[in-house]
Amino acid sequence: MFRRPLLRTAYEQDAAILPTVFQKVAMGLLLLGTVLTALGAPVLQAIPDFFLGATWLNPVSNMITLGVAALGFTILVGVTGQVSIGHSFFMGVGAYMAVALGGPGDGGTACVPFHEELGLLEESGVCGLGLPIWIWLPAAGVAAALVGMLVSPAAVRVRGLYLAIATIGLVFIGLHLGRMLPEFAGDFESGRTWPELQIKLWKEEVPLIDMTSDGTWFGLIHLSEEQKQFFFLTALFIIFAIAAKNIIRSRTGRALAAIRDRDIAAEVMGVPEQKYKRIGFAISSFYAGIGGALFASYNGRVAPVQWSLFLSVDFIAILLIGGAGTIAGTILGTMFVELTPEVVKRFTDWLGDQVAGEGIVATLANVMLTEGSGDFGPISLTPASPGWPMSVFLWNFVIFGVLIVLFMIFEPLGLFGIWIRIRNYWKGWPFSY
Amino acid sequence: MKKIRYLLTIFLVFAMIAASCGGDGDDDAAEEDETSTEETTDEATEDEGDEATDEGDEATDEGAEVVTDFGVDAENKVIKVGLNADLSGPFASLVSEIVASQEVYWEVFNEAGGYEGWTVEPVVIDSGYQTDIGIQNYEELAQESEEGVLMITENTGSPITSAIAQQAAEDNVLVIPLSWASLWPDPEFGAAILEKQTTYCIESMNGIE
Repeated sequence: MFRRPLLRTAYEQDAAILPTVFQKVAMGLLLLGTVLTALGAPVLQAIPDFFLGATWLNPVSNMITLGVAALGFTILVGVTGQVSIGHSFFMGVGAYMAVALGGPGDGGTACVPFHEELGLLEESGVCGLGLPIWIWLPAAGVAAALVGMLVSPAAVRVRGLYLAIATIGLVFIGLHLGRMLPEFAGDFESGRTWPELQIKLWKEEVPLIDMTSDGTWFGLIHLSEEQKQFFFLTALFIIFAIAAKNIIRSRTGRALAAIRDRDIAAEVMGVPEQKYKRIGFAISSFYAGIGGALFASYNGRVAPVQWSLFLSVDFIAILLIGGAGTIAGTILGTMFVELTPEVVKRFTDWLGDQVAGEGIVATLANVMLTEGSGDFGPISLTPASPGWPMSVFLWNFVIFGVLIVLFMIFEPLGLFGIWIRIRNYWKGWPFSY
Repeated sequence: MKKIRYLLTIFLVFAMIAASCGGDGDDDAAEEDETSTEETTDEATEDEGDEATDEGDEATDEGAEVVTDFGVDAENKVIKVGLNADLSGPFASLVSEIVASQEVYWEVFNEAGGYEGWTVEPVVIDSGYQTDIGIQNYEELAQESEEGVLMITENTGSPITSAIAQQAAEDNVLVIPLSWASLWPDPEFGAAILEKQTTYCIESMNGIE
């Protein structure tokens, strides 16, 4: 009876963030592993580079910024059940709010309109106000949340597939605005410069916590620029993930879940549909805005085309692969979707190095890879080869599509569902069947 | 009955015509493809012959004590150049051929003995025309280690090029963009960018005047 996974004897246990000892230990190990990996601990140096290594920090930091937006997508689509494809639009709203408030201020070299200088095109107003991060980051979320609330009445009128189609429109409105408002979005081709990830009190020159150059933090550890940004983004992600978990297990979360399960039944029970759909959209867009602002400022310079339909589709993949409606599933899904292409690419690189050697790995590498022509391996090492054998970049697309289809057919609960199956097997072991 | 036979005949005739047309079309397309790749290869050869000799000149000017940057292996006489190309995004079909032409060029260049024994190894990474992945690729190409490259000879797209322009200027990595935005002639912003043709703006002005 003691510590059985699903045996709850008190309400607090049912509502806990990490209900079992196993989950607490697993989360602790994950955090410890993250920190050690980022610091490049000597123990981990022995592991081959395609799995871990310092060059991973950049993709992983990008993944974390998208993960914040994915949390919002989970709350809207997974918990509230409102299928929205306009998520990248809300990310864009947040990002442009961030750059308008926090972008390099007047007189800064980064925001001088180059076109004017060359006399090619009159363009002004692409300078930001230069405000610090504690203003532009929340403002990005709030601006996106307000726009989300404006959109939410549509969710009351239409539902399911029709809402998805309606929200696709948002993405294209966003792209159109990006083209029509260069004073806000910058050049359509090349975008504008986002504020750097710096913690300042106000507009002072020397930031409180510097994250754009290597240095020592708190006089204790020496960190590189990437490591600093990684830790900052990870800390933010943990805060937002806990907040999302708290929203889901609160009164609001239960109301949202009731609407997902059957909106009419929820209203009969006394859950105001319009209000909670508005709340769902607002929370989701808030997360999207924050995620978009972080994504853009981490990358430094982003063009309006970035907030396209493909980004929204990425979130659907995250939700389907990770498992709908759970925070753990969202984290797993984001890791899987954003890092799989990188893993496949590095694995192929590593395999390419093994061809010259001997043994099973070399034979396997020989069978898998094709260099030049006349070989029969399915993966071509020549990147720019259309047709068969396909390059690793095209294989990534195939793997992605096949995985989504397989998950839809065999594991609708996603990676989280696989975990549940493993847990259930061991729960009844040795009498599991 | 007669009507059905009549229809069948027409259908068969159409089918045969369609089949023959299809076959012809394919052949034509294939021939066109071949010629177009040849053309691009030629262009690339002309374009990059200059660069290659420039690099070689630098190396020989220094004499026996070659001062090497990242991406230059002085022992084996190998220079690495990077291609941050869009091989799976909206411009994949176009850029694949351009990248292939560069690869073929360097292959021919290396087989001919390179420049005084120096050979060039192109490193190709796919960006999918996504800014974040393009920046990751840049970091990977321009890393200050043995795996880094000397310069980036192809960088697809204005969004990615403008995103890496300032970092490239800081890192002192020369970038040749596959993009003709008006930003590159800017002496401050495009310090590390080697634009290869006139910009869209100037081109359209030329067209009007």
